[in-house]
Amino acid sequence: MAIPPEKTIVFNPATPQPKDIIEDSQESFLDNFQVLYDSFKKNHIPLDATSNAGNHTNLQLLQQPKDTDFQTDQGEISVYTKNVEGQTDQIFLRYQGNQDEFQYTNYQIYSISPKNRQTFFFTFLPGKIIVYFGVITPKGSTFDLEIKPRIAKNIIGVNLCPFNVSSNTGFPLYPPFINSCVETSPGIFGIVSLQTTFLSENIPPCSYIVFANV
Amino acid sequence: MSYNTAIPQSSDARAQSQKQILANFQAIARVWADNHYPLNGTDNEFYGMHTVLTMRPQIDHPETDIGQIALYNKLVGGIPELFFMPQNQHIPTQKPIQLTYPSISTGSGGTQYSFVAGPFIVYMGFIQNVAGVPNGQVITLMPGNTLLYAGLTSAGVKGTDGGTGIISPLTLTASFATNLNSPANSFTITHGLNGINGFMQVVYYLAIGV
Repeated sequence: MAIPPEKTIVFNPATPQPKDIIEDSQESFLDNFQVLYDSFKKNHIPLDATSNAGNHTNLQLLQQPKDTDFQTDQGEISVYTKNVEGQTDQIFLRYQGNQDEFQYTNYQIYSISPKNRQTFFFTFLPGKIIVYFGVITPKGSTFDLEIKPRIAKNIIGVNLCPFNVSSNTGFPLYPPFINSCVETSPGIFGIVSLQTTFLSENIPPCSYIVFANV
Repeated sequence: MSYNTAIPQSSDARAQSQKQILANFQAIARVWADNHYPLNGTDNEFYGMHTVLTMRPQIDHPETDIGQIALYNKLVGGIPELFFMPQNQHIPTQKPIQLTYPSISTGSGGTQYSFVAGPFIVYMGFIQNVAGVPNGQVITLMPGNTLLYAGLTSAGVKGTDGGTGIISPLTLTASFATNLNSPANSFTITHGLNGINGFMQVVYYLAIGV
């Protein structure tokens, strides 16, 4: 005996019709209540829960088309996701009065294994800014500070802070000087080239932070 | 027609209830379609999910029970801001945290700002002058805030010492941010030893304000 195909339940906002008797409408009522129940229990506390009905459990945001502009009136904030080229789906915000949207989250957050006398961490700031940070322990008067992952299109800020003192004078060492920001591939900056300042002191160990547009 | 929670009544005629029930189902579908995947969408895998979260401003910070958090919109100076509320109903020390700032300026310029939760505004950028960034130059950061931190890193050299010789980074020290908030939301670029004539061509800055 063939198994009947599973019925697809769809919400019907056009029920009941004027001449429907209860027998006509009963199935669509059941379907509508079932879809309402199924919809509400996803991302929300179920309708038949004994407490907290109306609260959200989770917030799954479906990817929106690239050219979507959500109406955002005075007093409102819109939160939504769009796919970002070279990344994944990211959260966007649009402020009240239909202001320009901006990307709130950015790329991923994690650390990369230390390498070549440098530790690597990165996070983001709203507005497509990636923040690289960590510690360098150079040996010598020059050092190539690497920024990974290599997705920086424009280096907007660099800050270096030594955390050692001079063995000769006991005074804090000077931070290194930036010779150049180096493109490691066309349009992508991957290295900040450093050089010691003030005569022959080697570059001291430093904490670093680099801001870049992606 | 708006949603009616008081229908049908036991004495209602069928024709009357039909219109009211129809109106309620239509209202439910119409309201749900705001912010959510439509109830009559073709893929039930997406039922209940959201397309956008449009948040109306709340008058008071919400209460959150144990195991709960809340994301909400509350006006700050008349401007809607996104807030995070940790569980606070039984732990009063848990306070709301503002997640957004009223504006943002990022892109490809030399003067940008963003924000982190707090709300703290994060300024980053560079001061560039081929003739050398002057010692004592006052940098005012906008939008105006009380600066909590400012740090500088120098890059590029002018090339010659007023015609008297080649300048190398090896003869320079660094630039420092002094006079924080004097005048308001500003700092002064102060060059260290041997940099007093302003040999640095670029000074990168990072500042945080509130």
